[in-house]
Amino acid sequence: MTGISWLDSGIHVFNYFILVFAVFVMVSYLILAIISAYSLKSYLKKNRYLNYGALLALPNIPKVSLIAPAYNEGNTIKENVQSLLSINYNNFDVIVVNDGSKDHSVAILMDAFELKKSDMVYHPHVPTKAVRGIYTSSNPSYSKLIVVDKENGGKADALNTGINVSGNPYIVCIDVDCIMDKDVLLKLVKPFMEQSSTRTIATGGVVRIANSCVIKAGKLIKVNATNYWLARIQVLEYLRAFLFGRMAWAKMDGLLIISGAFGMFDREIVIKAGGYNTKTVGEDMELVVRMRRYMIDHKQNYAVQYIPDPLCWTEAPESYKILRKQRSRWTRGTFETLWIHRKMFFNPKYKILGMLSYPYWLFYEYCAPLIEFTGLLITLILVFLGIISWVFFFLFLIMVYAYAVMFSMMAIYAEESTFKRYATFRDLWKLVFIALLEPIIFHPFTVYAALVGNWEKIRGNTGWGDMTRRGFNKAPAK
Amino acid sequence: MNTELQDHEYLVYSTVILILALFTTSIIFLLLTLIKRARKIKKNKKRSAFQEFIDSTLFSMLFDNSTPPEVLARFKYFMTTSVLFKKVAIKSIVALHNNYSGNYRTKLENFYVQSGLVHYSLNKIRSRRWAEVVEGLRDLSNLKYDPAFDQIASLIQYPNEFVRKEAFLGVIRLRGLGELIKREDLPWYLDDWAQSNILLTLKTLQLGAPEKMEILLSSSNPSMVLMGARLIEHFQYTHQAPALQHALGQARDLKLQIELKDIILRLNPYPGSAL
Repeated sequence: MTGISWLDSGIHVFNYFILVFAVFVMVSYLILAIISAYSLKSYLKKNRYLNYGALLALPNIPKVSLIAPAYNEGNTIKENVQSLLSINYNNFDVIVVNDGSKDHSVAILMDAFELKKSDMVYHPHVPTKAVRGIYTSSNPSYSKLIVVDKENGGKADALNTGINVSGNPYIVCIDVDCIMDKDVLLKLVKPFMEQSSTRTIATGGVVRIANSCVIKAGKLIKVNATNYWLARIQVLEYLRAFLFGRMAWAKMDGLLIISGAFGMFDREIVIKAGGYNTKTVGEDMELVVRMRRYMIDHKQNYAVQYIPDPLCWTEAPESYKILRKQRSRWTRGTFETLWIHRKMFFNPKYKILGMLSYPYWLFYEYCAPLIEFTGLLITLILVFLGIISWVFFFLFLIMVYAYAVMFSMMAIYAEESTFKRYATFRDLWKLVFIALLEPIIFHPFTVYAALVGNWEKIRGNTGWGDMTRRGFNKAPAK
Repeated sequence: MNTELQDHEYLVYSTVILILALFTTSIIFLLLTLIKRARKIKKNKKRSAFQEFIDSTLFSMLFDNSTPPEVLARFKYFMTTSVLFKKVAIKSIVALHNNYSGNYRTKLENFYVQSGLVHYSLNKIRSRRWAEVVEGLRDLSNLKYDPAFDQIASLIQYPNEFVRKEAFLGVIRLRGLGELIKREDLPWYLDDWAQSNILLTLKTLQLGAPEKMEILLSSSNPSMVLMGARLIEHFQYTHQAPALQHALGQARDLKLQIELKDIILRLNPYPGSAL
């Protein structure tokens, strides 16, 4: 090596640290995949013969509010709301919260759904920005629709407003531009109906990528693997995350996040826990962690459930610029949530959450990009000093690549064995091809975006950033 | 550098082996995916062909005066060679059974027995795999095979909850809501999911109201009390309101109290007025 003993020792220690870290990451992913496979198999077996329509026979099926915050969604809001109103369920209402949009969202809604100002009284169980007005439809066909117009306060504030307006025991928080399966509420409500002594406080669902899928009148008609590389890589990424990661954490009762685009909650517990935190951009994860802490702190039996069926479809960013903003925000959100709940770190009071989920998220989700970047810097120093072992460098590089490809192939196999939504051989080959490229072109970018997220956090950036989307069934912007 | 590599020769070899193993595993998963898809496509084609053949044959039996022995002769070869054929045949019979009534239903029920498909279902309920048991007892109860009643009823005590619920539903399908009354003190919790299935069954099969429905309101099992209240609401037995009020007074379970209050309110939205 260099002959300088302290430097040689430092390099040795770092090498072994990186090796142990990498082995732990790889092994943990495999363990999670195995748990998920077992859990998925069991779920599908149990749900194979279920007729979800039977729930509609129940006169007092739980009442649910779908809360959809909207900010400058004027171009698509009418179709999106129509789609939400057509969901297959008896007792539900749709609460669209206009979060101080600068476009004509409210005017479009008023015109399309014959809205008139309601005399409904607003009770701020959770504090929010001022509400300008609550509107309901004069047309009985739209009796399920409530539109709330409020001052801009961000997504979390808009969701809190919806929670305050809702009079139902369960709320489903969604992104207004998501495409929902028509049976989405029937499937989400089932875990709440099966509860006995253990209270189900939340149910999370799978979010899938809808880019290039055929969507008509707010309904998903045909699933395609998109031609846009960046979006297609995210298809694979979401498959891995939702089929393997979250399914396993849910099985171990260690799920820390329910996607902000799609989750169902027990409204009473949400309010008792304080609603969505408006001071973080990771409000979805933060709420789940806080609700779980609330239940543990108050010594109440509870469960957080997870439904692996693909029920919610969203549009993934197709440009690196938008993707960078999204991933940067995710990094900041993760850091903020982990910081707020740092008391849980290796705290046995919180059982698996404190002893496993939290440390995992800290080391393998939040710190991993930082460690990878440090590894890159050290490698450059070693190259500069001329003491790098190129044989080992390339061997380990190929090993990591091979592992990433293998894991993606496992995810594709899991999808094929379960939901089979990518029906053609062409789509299958598209996914396989992108699995070979993903470790080279996508992963380094996510590390970069995470670093940007940390930098933005240090600089005090608390915003969401402009998340412009192309919209379904539209040509890409040139 | 070379000395360093020689020192760590084992590490180089083990890393190379690991890389090869990872790539091999990737290829295996890819092949498994392709095989699975190819098999699925083949199976679907076969299923479609069977479906078309079975539907046309059953239709001819129902509407064109083909006799069951003639249909059986046409089925014979596939019945002995393909399990998939039996599955599709039972599914078709159940679907037609749900869509038609009267004499057509009876014809289908008889054919289910004469064709020997009933033995396939009976074997299933003896399976060790609970999913198969559920499938078997669902087919038997849907197609009204009453001789299997005792076997189905015994499955209400089965260790697996899915089998228990399906068996409970099965006895109701076979002999009506009276079976529910006979099991007023069910030893397990009949959750909302199972109750919604019972309500759907009684709507689709247009099952009549059982005698002494109010017995359920005095059950020691709160879920059966709720089921009783839901049945009273379904049949709009407003004269049972005092019994419901009494059950509410006796209820210790919070969920039950809330549900009973709601049902009482729905049965009589104007409290104080005569029911």
